[in-house]
Amino acid sequence: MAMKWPLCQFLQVDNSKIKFRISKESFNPHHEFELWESEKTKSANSLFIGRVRGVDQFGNNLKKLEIVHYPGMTEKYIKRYLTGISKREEQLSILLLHRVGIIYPNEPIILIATCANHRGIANKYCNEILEYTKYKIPLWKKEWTFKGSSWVKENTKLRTNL
Amino acid sequence: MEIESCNEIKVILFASLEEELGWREKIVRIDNNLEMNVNSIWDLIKCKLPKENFIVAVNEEIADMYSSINHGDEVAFMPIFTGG
Repeated sequence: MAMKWPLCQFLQVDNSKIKFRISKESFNPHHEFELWESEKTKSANSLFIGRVRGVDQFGNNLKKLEIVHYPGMTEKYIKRYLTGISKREEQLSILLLHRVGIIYPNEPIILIATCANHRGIANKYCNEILEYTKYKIPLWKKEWTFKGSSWVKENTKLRTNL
Repeated sequence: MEIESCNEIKVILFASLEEELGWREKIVRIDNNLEMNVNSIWDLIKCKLPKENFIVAVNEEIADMYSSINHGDEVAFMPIFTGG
């Protein structure tokens, strides 16, 4: 039987130019993107979908990934950051969805979509928002294998200046 | 009388630090006569790990070990973020 994915309720900021959600429930990134993109009239969209790998940081088969966060501070920092971008780039619209809780291999962790008049701005901020969520937002990953569990010590190297 | 002379601070630990110390949150009391900053809270929780390895927040805002705190504040000690 096909899995039914709930469409997520987002926190909307700045007259719907920014939508984001920290979600305990799984989501279908394609459905979420299509719904969001259908409301946009700009010509350039950039999309990033991050999924759980099948192995942990040591190369062992991964059973599941657990993501914990600091409720309240997480939302505060995301909202502040995205609002700052929105003020700099008035034409830009942003969608951000990040999972917390237990997530299984190949399930989506993060969806970022940006929409603008030109590809340069859309691509730039899609990438920058991803890096920000990796290094500036209070989220932590714990990897569970069939032998035990371990916290991810650090993300891969920062790819942009934040 | 003892309660009246103390400041109460809510301390929260996250992720590996929570597991290391075996608790998630607690209220700590600091005597009114003692210095009130994040470092004094760190000393009180008796963590043997190097404090340089952790991020600290006061009332959900990134701070540092020298940040001052007040009665009723919430202080969080956190490992390096690994989301995204």
